[in-house]
Parts: sequence; C-alpha cells; structure tokens
Amino acid sequence: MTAAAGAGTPTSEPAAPSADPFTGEPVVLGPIQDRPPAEPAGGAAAAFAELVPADPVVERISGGHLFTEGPVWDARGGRLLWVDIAGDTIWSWSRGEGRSVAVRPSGKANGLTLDRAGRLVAAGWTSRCVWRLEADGSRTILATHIDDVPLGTPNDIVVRSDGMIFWTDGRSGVRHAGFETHHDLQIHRRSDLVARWNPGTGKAAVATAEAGRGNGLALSPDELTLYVNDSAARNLRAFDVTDDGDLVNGRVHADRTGSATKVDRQGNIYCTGPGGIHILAPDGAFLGRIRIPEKGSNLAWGEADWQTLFVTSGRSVYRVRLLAHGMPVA
Amino acid sequence: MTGGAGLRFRPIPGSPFNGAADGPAWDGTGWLVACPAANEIVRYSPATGQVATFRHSTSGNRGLAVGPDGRCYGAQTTSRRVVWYAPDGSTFLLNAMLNGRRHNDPQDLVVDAAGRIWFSDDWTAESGGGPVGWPPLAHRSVLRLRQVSETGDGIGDWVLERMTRDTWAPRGVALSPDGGTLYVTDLGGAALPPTLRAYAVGKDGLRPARVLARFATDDETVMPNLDGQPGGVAVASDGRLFVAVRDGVDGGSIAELARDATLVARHHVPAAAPTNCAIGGSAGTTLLVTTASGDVLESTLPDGEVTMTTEPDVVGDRQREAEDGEA
Repeated sequence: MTAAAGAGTPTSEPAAPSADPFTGEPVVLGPIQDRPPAEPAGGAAAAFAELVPADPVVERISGGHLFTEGPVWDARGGRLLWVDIAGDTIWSWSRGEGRSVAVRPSGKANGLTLDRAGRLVAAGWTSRCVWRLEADGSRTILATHIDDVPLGTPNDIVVRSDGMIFWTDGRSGVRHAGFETHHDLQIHRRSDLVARWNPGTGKAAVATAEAGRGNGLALSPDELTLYVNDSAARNLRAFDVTDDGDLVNGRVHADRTGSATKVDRQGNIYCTGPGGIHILAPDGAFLGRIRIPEKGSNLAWGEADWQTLFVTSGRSVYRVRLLAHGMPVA
Repeated sequence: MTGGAGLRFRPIPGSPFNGAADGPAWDGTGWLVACPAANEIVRYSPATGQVATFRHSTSGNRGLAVGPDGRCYGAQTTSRRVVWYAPDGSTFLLNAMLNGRRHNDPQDLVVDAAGRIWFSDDWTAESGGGPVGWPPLAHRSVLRLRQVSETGDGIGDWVLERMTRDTWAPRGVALSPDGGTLYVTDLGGAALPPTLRAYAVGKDGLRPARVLARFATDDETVMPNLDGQPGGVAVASDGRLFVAVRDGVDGGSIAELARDATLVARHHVPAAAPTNCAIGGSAGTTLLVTTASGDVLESTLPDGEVTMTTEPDVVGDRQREAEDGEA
C-alpha cells in the first residue's frame, strides 16, 4: 500500500494489512474519489480539498459479515462498535486489538449511538424497541410504544446533548425474510415516524410523521437541524428541532442520497449514496464523492482526533482518514 | 349435473380495489380479500354490506386461508413467510425451516381439517430476499406446515414438510371437501404447459399427480385443453372445480370442471384477468372471484348444484386408475 499512501495520509498510520484477516480476501484500497471540477476557483473543488486528502485510502478493517450497520466510535473504550444484523452480533474493533464480539445476541439491532454517559443506545429494529446497554452489561428497554401503539422497527438513532433520543421508526425491519424475531410482525401505524424519547419523562412521542421512509438521521452541529434520509424518495430531508424535540418545517435538503448521514464540525454533510460517500456543503450543495467498494449502509466518525470516517457496507467495515473533523459522539 | 349455466358476476362493494386482488377466503361471516400491491387485506361483510381494512402493511400478502378453528393465515409473498393474523391485530410468523433453509415466496394456501397449512411455494421476482439475499430453494413445491406443539403465546411450534416433487411453479391450492384430494395449479416451465393437478392425500404424503387439465398447449389429444394460464382454484361441496384462468385478449374466465374433470363451462369474467376464486358465503353457494385489475366479483351458484355428496368417491377411483396408467 506504499504507493497509495501519498500526501494526506498521516505517516504515523500503521500499514493496512494486504489481506483481510478474516476472509483472506485482498483488502481493497484507494485512491478512490470523484473530485468536482476545479472551476470556478473557490467552488466545490476547493471546499472538497479541505475535507478529503488528495489520495484518500479506503481500508477494510473487517470483512466476512452478512449485513453490517450502526457504526459508532466509543471514545472511552478507544474502539469502533458496529452491528452485523443478520449475524445478530455487535462487534468491536480497535487498532491494537482487532475485532471481537461486544454483544451477542444483538436482537437484530440496527443503528447504534452513545448517550452522554457513554452508554450504548441501540435502535432495536426487528426487536421493535429502543434499548440501552448498562455498565453492568444489562439492557434497559427505553421504549416499546408511543401512545399505546407498538413501535415500528427503530432503524437509526441519535442522542441530543440534553439526552433526548431521536430515531427513525419505520417498517423495513419486518419486511426482510430471515430477520424476524418472535415479536409481532404487524406495523400498526400507517405512516413511518421520527420518534423521540424524553429522558425527563421516560416517554416516547412522535417527533414528525413527515419524513417519508426515514432511515439514517443526524443532528447539525448546533443541534437546531435534524437531517433524515428518506429511503423511498432517495433524498435528504431537513427539519427544525424545537426544544421539546418536535421536528417542524420539513423540507428536502438534497437529492440522490442513500440510507445514512453524519455531519462534520463545520456542518458539512456525509451521506451514503450511489457509488460511495457523498459529501455535501451545509446548504446541501454536492461537493464530491469518496468511492467505496461496496454499497455503504452507514457512517461513523471516530478515533482520537475524530478525523476518521468508518463506513459499514454489507459484508465489510471500511475506514478512511479525512482532513475534516467529525462531530464527536458522547 | 346441470352445471354450465352462465354465472352472473356482480362487483362487491368497494370494487375495484387498489391494485390486483387475490387470495379470497370466507371466514364464516365475511370475505377476506388481499391486495398485495397495496399491502392491504380488506374484509367485506355481505350481511351489512360493509367493507373495511382488515390489515395494512402486509408485506405483499397474496394467499389467505381460514382454518377450522377460525384462525386466519396469510402468505406474505415478498417477505417469504406464512403468518397468523391474530384477532388482536398482531401478526406472527409460523417459524419453520425446510431442512434448515428458508422457503421461497408463498403464493396461495389452504388449511385442512387437521389444521395443517398447505401452500404453494413459488419463486418470483418480488422478493429480493432481504439484504443478505437468502438463496431460493432448489425446487418450487407445495409445502405443508404442521403444528407440533402448543406454545403459551398461541403461535405454536411448527414443522415444514415438502409435499410435491413434480411441480415447477405451483400457484393455486385447494382441497376437496373430504380432504382426500389436493388440487394444484402449476404455471409450468419453458417446455411444460401449465396444468391443473390432483393428488390423492395419503397418510404418509401425496400419491403421484393426476393431470386434470393442461393449458395453452397445441396437443389436440389433451382433454381438456384450456387456453390461458391458471390462477387459483376452488372446490364446491359437490366436488366441482372452479379455476381462475387468464386467457389473454379479453380478461379471462372461470373454468368449471365436473367431478370427473370434464370441462363443463367457461364463465367469462367481465373484468381483467381473474387471479383467484373461492367458495363461501353464509349458504356456501357464493363464488368470489378476484382479478388483476382489483375488481372483486361475486356470483351465486345456482340452487341445488352445490350439495355435499355421499356417493362413492368415483374421482378417487379414476385417480388411482390414472396413477397406475402414468406410473
């Protein structure tokens, strides 16, 4: 990988292995990117160059999975967590120790995040709940219903700094053959939701029913805007967030995006999408794309400087070092 | 047998529904009809004339069947599963693998007197199988779910068994009133015409099939030789068969076959191609027909024709002769 490790890749980074330690398959490496036209000066190309190194290296850190999702960086543990939904396992990875099982079974959980105390909070997907992993290893179910109606299949999840939890509450988790749990498979609401859980009351409520087939979601750095990926319309919606956690003033923020979104400290938006990771300016303007070898499912910022973007994509987890600084979690 | 009198079809309230209709089933007081494209099941009560949503978000449910205990089962085609629609509004998987593998896309189903669920397990383009892409079975067969123990949640433990070994694309399934014969429509394959098949149900499985009808074949020696493509099939209490047939230009028809499998009549369906049919109603004399356009039509079978027979089972004798001949 010496040829690919050009400018922009910190020289202190240890070399990536030449073969996947789990499958023996060659590790797919960059340089893989689509840069926008250099003209006009100061336009998208210049903005992209401030976020993505000239030769970004996409390194596979784990392979051989069935359906990876929900990556989140656990800063206290210095590790990445993600879920293999079909494998019913939450995995852990760190540079020094490699890969190990963190939680099994995972209840077919999907999106993962951490609350401000560093506890893992999971969108339970086919388990039809939102749950939290306590320090002693026990699980606390935070929400199963809204107004006595069972949740759909919580898909992705984010925590606001006041502890308010937002998640997309859709139906994808009951559609896929082979992912059923023993739970009710009936979706009881006609529309998908973005839901919220209030840490003060312990109650879940509807934040909005206007987010289409909501999938990934992320808060802007100032937490005044919530972005939601609509999997059906293939666009990114934006909502104003009230103090109470209601989502109002919904609008389409960008088109042709995929299933998940994260933001950096400047408010730039990173979405999975066709061909790789689409990078958008805060106003939704397309800046460029980092190609990855598989269809991305979700993203997470991580490592000590929050300048690494981890990407889950079906059978693998990828890691790419960027110039941008991601929004820390927890 | 005075069968063959033209059936007069009339739309039920609410017809046409949203997208193709399929899987009609009589639940004792009302008709259940599936609208797979709309992910909805509607219920029509003839007594009140009311039509209401029975379930939404149904994962492409196509076939429906009601068991002897009143339980309603559905074939959620795009999710590759058979479910129990519980009375409280929840929906449960009847979880069973076939030799450790997930079955294909269930199409149509029927429940026998012992509560066993027979279903046609075709493979279609409708199910992507999920992100993992669970591979299809190497065959497309009629499978049977059998409850092996009760569970506290009412769902039960089930096992799945392969019943047919000669089907290519099974579609409609029905049982004779005495449960002794399984009828299957099969769409055939590249070199095989669609067929209507009958299997004698034995204690240990099915006897070899007797082909009652072929569809869309040029072979003049085949009797009956029906144009078109078969969908669902219904059996009257006197043993007559009604087969939904899509036959191209002008929608389709319901083919009526006598107990000896001779063609009695083709009843033109004044709508798009029929997909399925069922017999029910409070008197058990209503034929309900679903169509690809979402039109749902009912017809009253003439008086005196649909009566439970106590005669010797001549069909069974004919089948055994046919089996011997084909063996």
